[in-house]
Amino acid sequence: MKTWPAICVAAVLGLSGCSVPGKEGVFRSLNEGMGSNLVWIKNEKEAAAVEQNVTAILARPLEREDAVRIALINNRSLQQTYEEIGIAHADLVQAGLMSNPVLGYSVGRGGGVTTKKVGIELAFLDLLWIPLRRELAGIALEETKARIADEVLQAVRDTRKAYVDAYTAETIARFQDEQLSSASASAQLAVRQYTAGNLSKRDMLRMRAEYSRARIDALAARQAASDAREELNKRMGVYGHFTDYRMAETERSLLAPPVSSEDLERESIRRRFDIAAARKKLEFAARAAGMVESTRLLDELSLEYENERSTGEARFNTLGVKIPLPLFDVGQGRVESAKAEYNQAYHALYALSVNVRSDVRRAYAALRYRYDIAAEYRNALSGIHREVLEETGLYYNGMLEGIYALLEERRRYGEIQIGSVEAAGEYEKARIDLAYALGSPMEDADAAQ
Amino acid sequence: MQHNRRNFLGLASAALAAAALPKVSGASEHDHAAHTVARRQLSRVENPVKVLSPSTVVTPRKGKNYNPVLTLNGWSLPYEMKEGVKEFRLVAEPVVREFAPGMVVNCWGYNGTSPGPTIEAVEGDRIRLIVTNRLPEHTTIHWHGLILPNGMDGVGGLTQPQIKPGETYVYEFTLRQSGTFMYHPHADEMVQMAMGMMGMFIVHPKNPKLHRVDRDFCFLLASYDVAPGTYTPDPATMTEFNLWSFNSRVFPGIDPMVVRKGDRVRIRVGNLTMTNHPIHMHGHVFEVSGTDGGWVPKSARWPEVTADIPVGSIRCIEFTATEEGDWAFHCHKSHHTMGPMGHGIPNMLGVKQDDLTEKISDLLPDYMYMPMGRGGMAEMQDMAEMGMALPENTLPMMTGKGPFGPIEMGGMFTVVKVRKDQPHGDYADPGWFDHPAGSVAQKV
Repeated sequence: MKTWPAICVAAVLGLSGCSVPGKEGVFRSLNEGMGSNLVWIKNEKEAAAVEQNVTAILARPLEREDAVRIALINNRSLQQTYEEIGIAHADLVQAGLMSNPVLGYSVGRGGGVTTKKVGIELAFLDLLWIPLRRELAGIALEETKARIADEVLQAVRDTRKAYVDAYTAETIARFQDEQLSSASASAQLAVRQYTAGNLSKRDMLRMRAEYSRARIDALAARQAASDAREELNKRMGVYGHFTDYRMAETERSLLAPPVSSEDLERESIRRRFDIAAARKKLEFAARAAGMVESTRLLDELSLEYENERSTGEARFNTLGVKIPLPLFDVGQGRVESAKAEYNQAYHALYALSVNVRSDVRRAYAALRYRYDIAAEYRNALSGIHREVLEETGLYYNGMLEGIYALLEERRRYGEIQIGSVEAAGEYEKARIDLAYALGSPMEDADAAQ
Repeated sequence: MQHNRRNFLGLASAALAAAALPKVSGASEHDHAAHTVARRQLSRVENPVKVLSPSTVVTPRKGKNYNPVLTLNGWSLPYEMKEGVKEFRLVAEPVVREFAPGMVVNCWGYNGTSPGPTIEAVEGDRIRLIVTNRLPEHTTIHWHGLILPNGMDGVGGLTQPQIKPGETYVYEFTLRQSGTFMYHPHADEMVQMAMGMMGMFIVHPKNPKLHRVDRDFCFLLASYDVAPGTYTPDPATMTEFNLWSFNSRVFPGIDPMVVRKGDRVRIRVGNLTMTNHPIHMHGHVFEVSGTDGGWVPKSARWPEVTADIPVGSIRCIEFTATEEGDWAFHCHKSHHTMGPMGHGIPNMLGVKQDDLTEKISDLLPDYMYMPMGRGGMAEMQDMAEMGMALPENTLPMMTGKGPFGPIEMGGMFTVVKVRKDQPHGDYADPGWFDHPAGSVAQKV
């Protein structure tokens, strides 16, 4: 009978020793699933490599996708998220382990007799539930992976948008400087005209006030630019000298959006990682409910072995089984809770799908309108105002209008330039939003369409 | 296709007329050899920029018992004798007038031009004026200054129904006076006169010896508001006109008045603008010899170098061209000798700007910018010289080039050219005056 415990332990060890892929492997599969190139910093050496990589990227003018790349490898909030893989993975490992046997030892003494009992108690049936538990933990790991993938996509979206905002704000600040320059030329001339006795004090003061306002606008634009840039810095997780990068000046193309949103909705349900996570959650709940059902009476069944030796007597071995009597708790509470959790997960998936579809339609509509607005700016209004400015130059040449009129027209043109840059930025952000809404993975949003 | 043929005919006959008159510059759309109105359809020309510039065509003297007038940049309307009546045909129609090289205006006029052709007849003539309306609205013609039956006076609603588009009316009366008169609509006057509907009506004395002169010039003063970059006058404008014209031409697009030294010269000026014009002549003293009311008795004339021409009036001035040279002749309101100009431009006299040039140029990268107005507005002339671009169909504010440099004039300005060797009856431009040695102001 001595061999019993040994068999039990061996069996348990054998079952729990089943191979589970390492968390590195899980991370790799996440990367492959998304077509991304994430880096998970787990030690100093990896941190140094990432820093080197970031330094190399920031050495050249920063493109939008560079910013995304940096965020994915360098943003510590994201790194924090990656650790959830570690946690879920650990859960999976844990799930494969049988509960430890309980070793008991007791000494009883009385009437000159000492009785020593050595017992081992094993929640034996636990062994049977290990595959179920591991399956559940596997689903949970899949869910975590999907959730992280979604968070990565959110990070990509937010970084892209932050880049667009920073770029737009910087461009606007530059345009506002030109506005200021025009207002300053007007104000300088006005002061000189006043000094020469050709302009009333009131009109001169009005010109100066206009300059002041332009200065306020220029300062506000600078503040907005630095604000937007800090947002981008945060997304990229950079500080110190890393924040001295220059943004690349790229010609921004206006790609016409797809004609309809119907396919896009289906596409999004198929591709989105948050939907995938919710599906896994539902699957988990379903399996969990099933497990509760099958284990509701038996999971506390345990096997006991006891070796008893009293002074002067022979050893006394006891083998026993403990079964809880389902008199009061027949597991109904746990079953009900599991069912509720399942229903909850079901509704959550349903609600998410409805919301995602709505988000796609909304993002699609936003893209369509933003495209039309940006295209109107780019294809018509900017050119028209430029021509108006050029025509005004002709009026100035002919002494039909004065220099103030010319400079004022220059400012109106500047306003259109600013509006145009804003519209282009809004369009780009709408495109980024739609790409996320579609669950489009790492490649540029355009590829998804 | 049809209007092409008409153009061709018009040009062909104009060439004929030009051939008969040596040294008359340019071609004319006017047709003196044959004169069916159908040939003058300027309004149908599709690209107004290509419209020919009408230059002076001298009415042939042959067979005339009077000395015809010379209408600056204009012409006299041919007539046909029908049973002792001189029959003139006038067509009121939209026309395109070139005001100076580089600028054309959508006007309304008569027989292809604005102002319409000068009507010339003789005191005592019975005349018939057949007026066809091809305007988009009704019109009439009032014969300004003429004594005639009330029903021929051409006041819409008062003495006759308006002539509706497409209709033809006949006016017929006998000329009881001699002198200088005008014709213009008396229906929707505000629009029609602002669009250039007007013409001169010269009645020569029955006795050609009366009031005889060697050269007899005439033109009408008209003002237009053609906003820079546009082609059509704004008829609602009352004071802020930007084109001040002699016969709807502006300097340097106005013919010079060429005379032979010693000639007795008459210049008849009618004013159909909305303000008076003090017309000033250099180098000579003249007398006002007539108005639209008739001849001024010799005893009542006094010497002048400037004659103020009231609104809606005519003044004839006469002088003997005793002084050789190129003499300025212009309205003395200085804005009236300027081309289109901004009246609201900031006064930059004495204001230093050039150090801001770079700053402003940086903002306006694609075309040249230069500061203007510091020392005056003469830079305008320099800019015009440099061929600086202006709004479409817009003339520079000041322009004109003389033998000594820019003349810096636009609008109501021309030159009376007195030459001792100018042939009798020859109006061809002799070029700039060749000053005798020591007779030109010089730098010391």
